[in-house]
Amino acid sequence: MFMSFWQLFLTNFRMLYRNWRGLFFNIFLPVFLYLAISKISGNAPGSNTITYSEYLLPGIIAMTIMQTGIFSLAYWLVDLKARGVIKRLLVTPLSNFEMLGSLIASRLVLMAIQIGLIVSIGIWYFKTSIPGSGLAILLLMIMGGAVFLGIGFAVSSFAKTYEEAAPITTILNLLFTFLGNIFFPTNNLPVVLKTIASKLPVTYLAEGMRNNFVQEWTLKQTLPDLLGLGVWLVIVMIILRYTTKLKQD
Amino acid sequence: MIQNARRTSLIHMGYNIRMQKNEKVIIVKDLKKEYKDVQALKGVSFEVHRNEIFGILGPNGAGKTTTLEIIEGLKQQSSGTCNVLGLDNLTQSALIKKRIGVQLQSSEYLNYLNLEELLILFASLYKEKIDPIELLKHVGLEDRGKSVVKSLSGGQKQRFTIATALVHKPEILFLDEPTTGLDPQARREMWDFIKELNKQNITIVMTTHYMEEAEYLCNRVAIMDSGKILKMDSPEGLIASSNRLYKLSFFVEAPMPKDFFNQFKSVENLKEEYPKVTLDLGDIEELPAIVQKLKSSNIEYKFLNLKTAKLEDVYLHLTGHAYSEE
Repeated sequence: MFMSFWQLFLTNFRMLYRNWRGLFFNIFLPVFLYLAISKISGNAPGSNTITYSEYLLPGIIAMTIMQTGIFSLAYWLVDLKARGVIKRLLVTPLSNFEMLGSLIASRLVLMAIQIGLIVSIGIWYFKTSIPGSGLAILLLMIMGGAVFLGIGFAVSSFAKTYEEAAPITTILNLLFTFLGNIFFPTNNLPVVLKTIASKLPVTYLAEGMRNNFVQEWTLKQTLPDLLGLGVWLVIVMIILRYTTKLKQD
Repeated sequence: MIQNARRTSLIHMGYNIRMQKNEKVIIVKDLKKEYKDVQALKGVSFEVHRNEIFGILGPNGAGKTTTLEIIEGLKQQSSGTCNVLGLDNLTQSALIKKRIGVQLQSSEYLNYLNLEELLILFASLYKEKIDPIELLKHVGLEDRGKSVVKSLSGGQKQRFTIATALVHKPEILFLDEPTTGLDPQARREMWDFIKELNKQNITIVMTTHYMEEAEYLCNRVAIMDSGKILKMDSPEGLIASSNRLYKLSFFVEAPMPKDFFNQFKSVENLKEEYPKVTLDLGDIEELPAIVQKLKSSNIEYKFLNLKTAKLEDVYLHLTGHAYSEE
């Protein structure tokens, strides 16, 4: 089992790093955004003690996890399904576990590389410190990765073609980016939007990480955010249970 | 030369004699497949013997691909049974997949991988380690190992697709319309390649809608239409069983009398499109009498042409009837 899992993992990874456009959007764009916005900004909104680069760092990480989870997986799977590649794999003895497991593992490694790069720039270039719980941050990232990869799978189950997947992912991206506490706080939004924003998975991820990145926050204090992501994970799993279908009728 | 090299490489790859005469490697009984509002298969039954090339022939929508996909484990039947190499397709699908090779109609692959990497990947899915160059040599693509699939010609792409289906030395190879979209030369090369594979004791089950292909390659052919098998036999047997063994045509100077052919019992499918007359002739013994009558009736004729019927004629006859039954 390990042989095919490893080869598929390698394959997925080769496809990621040989795709220069994908690499630009997955790796360079988040880094460039982080560098550019941090350089031209001063303090974080409503704070005299935290710089905007410190405020932005967890937000950019959350955005990267979200986009890698949803975009790269959804488009990838939709493309493979539409071109008949999944069907070709299904006539081999490959198990669903190996196929999906290798896809998830390669995305998690990609996320780790993206996050590692952004955090390194934050620490070495912007002199950001991380006073909170490292374990809490790690758990948030893993949970967030699982939730957004799950959403990516769900999108690929609903959409049969790229044209069908594009509007779904665009709406999700818009919703999560603007209401997810990524670039700015959502405190001043109208009550309804503020309530919606507070329940989004990306908000739990960004806020949970921000608390640990800028304050001496503990794992215990991060539990509500982890719980929020946990609830989302259950919801996504239930959706996947009824929508994911690799085999045909 | 190339064929000899291919044969040698196949033997090196471990294809050995596994053949048992008349052993049934696929037994399909009363296979039915229903979708919400369509009955794709209406009780399909056939058997495939080891080391034969079995063809499923039919127009688009006849149920050929659905039948193959059920055998290959991609779909499940609504009713009926399907046994492959002694294994049940519903309960032992994973074991079947290890022993069969499949070439699907679509020959798309994962992007950004070269041919060698793709072959290594496909071999790993069967827990096999292979020398990709050896396999590429076998399909005549040894110099394209570092190329991507996109850069291959249609014929090369199809040969590579078959190579991916051979990574684990399957006993049965399923080919779904293997020459669709190929130019005549590439199609001929593919036919030789398929024959060569079969010589190495690989049972081949293929679908096609090219009559010439089925006639050239297949030991037995099942003609399918509207989810049913209309007839099944060797191409020669199918032609012989038809009462339209010969096709006669000639040109006339003036329209012929309407009842001219009435006395000839084996004449069918008469078409008088002045100045051309065509007809199917079941009994060759009637030909001299027809010629004699043309002469005695003072009917000027020229370009008299007699052809042996082909599988295509049988196919058109059978599927034509099927369409009119709908």
